[in-house]
Amino acid sequence: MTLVSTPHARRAAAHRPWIWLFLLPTIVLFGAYTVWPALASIWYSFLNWSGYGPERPFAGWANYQLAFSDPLFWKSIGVTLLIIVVTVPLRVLLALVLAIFLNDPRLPFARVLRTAFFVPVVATTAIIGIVMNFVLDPAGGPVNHVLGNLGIGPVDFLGDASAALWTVMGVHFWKWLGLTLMYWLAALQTIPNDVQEAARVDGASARQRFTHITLPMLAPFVAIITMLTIVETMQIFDLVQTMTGGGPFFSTLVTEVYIYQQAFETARPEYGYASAVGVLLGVLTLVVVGVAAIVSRLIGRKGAVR
Amino acid sequence: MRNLDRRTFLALGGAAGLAGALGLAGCGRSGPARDVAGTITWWDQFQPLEALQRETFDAVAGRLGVTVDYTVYDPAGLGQALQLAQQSGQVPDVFTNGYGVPELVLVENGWVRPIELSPEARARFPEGTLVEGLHTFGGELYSFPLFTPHQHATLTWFDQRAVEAAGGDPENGPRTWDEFRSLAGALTEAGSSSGWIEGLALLDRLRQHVIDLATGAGAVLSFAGNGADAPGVADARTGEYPFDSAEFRDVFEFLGSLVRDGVMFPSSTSLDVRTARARWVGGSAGLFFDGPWNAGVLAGQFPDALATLGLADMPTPDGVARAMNGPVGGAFWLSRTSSDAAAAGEILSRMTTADYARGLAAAMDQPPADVGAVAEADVPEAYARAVSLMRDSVRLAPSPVAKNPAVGAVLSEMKQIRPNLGEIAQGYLGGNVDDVGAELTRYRSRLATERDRAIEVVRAGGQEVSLDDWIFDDADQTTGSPRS
Repeated sequence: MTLVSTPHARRAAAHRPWIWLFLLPTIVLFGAYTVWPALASIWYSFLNWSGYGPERPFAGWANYQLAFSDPLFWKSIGVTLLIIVVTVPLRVLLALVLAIFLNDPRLPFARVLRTAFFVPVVATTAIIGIVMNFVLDPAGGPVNHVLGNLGIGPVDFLGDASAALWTVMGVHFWKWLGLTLMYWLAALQTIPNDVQEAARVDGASARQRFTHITLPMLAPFVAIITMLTIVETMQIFDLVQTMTGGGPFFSTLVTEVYIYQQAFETARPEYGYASAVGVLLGVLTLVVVGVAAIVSRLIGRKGAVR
Repeated sequence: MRNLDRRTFLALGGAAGLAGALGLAGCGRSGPARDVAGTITWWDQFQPLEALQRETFDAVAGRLGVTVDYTVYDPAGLGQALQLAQQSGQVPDVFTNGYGVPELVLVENGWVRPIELSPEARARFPEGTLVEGLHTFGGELYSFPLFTPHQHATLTWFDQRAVEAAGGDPENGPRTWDEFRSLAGALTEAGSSSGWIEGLALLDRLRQHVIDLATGAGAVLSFAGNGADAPGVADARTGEYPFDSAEFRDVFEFLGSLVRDGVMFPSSTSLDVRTARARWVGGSAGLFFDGPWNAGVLAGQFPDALATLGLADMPTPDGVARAMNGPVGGAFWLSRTSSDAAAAGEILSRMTTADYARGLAAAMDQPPADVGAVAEADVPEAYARAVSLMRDSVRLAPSPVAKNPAVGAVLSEMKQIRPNLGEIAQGYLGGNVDDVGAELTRYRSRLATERDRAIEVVRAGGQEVSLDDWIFDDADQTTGSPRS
């Protein structure tokens, strides 16, 4: 058998080194900052290691067994899931409603409003957390000043365990609403104008166009937007750390903060255990996103066939 | 000149990029500063001493022909920095023990080496200053204390005008818990927004207050290692953990009464100490617990407050000033990998001099080991009085680590138990713990179980250690001096 070298194959072979060269930075950076830390965390999770020192005895599944019997681990998982369950549906739905309004060319100041919603997204989360400590201060903060004028409070938004988690959720919701809004606005751009135009020519009302064209055509995006929103919500470390540090009395202890506390913020760091909790959080993320994807796809399919 | 076509441009760009990357790779592992000839890296956590440290380095380093690469961290930041430095082989030449492990662990893991002090410097340590298991190991000197053990973090600070207006004693302040409570109530009624403020978000400090107040209530404790890390604190006479003892329960009852009276500043549970101090200076509250360094911070940040600054020793149930504190651990440790131990030794030798002690006093952080230096230093009267009060009232507690250095290995082996003492206190004061007695008993029990496990592990490793090492039959608390 003879191998025939076509001009196309020769061109492809000539391009191959360039393809790898241009992929190299991505491979190196992704490998160094994502793949390697993930693999290292899995390895560390099987060690009884404080984070320093030469001794790293293999611990088997001990760190995982410890996590499953650790009430604070389960507490942190509960707080994390509660934040997801409360904020994600609200964010996805409210952002959809806002996107539909902001996508209407007749709405005045639409660009200004879009920018206003997006500004908190680009603001540094840690800065927002610190500023919110002042804004929500029970003695002299502007929010309590207003409440005081109304005869309410003062409310210790971040110092009262019964209020702190809801306050953090509220700030997180406000901070990231604009991003979900942008996802929906992008999705809305995919709906062809001629379809809307055809419906209008056929005499469909605005409500009919919304329920029979816009919503069904947006349905396929529900899954991806929900998943993105869930993943963002699980990455809430910087906001919680700067607003409450997981307190008071564990009321805002999300799993990311718990991992940080175990690895760094203690006189007795436990890197191995923190890594095990990190791996479990990763597994939980996959499970939650998987479930959300399945549910969203079912919703999307139902919407699409309607 | 030939024009570059797209392909040639990309080729050149790719080659340049690759060369740059290789060049960077070549430069990337130039190593930490300590590898640079004549440079000593020095990390510590003594922010109030920064100027004194730099002055000391300048005085010695220039003569030795070395430079000191000095970084001051906050305590939490130092621990993280050391953790990362350890993993990347960039541990500084000299550092404070931000690892949070007992001193013995530093030595046994081979992270540190003995320091080389001059004979004059060695001779400056008074008898009993250096403790085997804390500063010396196998007779070799690894570190030495900078600060006196005669100190605590729970002095009562107040504005004398406010206390006088509320009908209190502006010179002596509250002596008993009842006086403290009634004065806090009177201050609240007299116009301060609250009677008492504390930065309860800083759990380490809150834990320190609780332990200080318990010693004031009569608890006879032993302290293993540096500071009042709860697993290192035990009942000196029984060796058991004391956290659900009558003294500790009384402390919780006292602090809880301030919450019930409505005299605690509302957001104390979400304040750190710095913010709480600023609020207190601003008049948001009347009374504030803090260590002697409070006078130094005020001198630097709120000098106007010094004129009417009042203080009292820690309040106790019966008004008799008393407290206990353990031996102070070594301040600086020399890395095993240090390339210039001799120069580091010269700098450390200077830190044993009377000049340096006066500098420590003038910096108004923790009082120097030689508390007599405070009288010779130019410090506000409040700082001098704080040091004087504590010199009389704080008794040196026994140390299990000094009795048997293997206790350090036990403490190092112990896993953290949560909620810990600081978290329980925060939860109680924030209204999140209903039955604090049960919570304290649970904490004590879990801690004891964990210590038993750790003792077994250490014994299995060949070291002799037992609960007896925590027991000091002759320990008592009789040296507290009544106030004038």
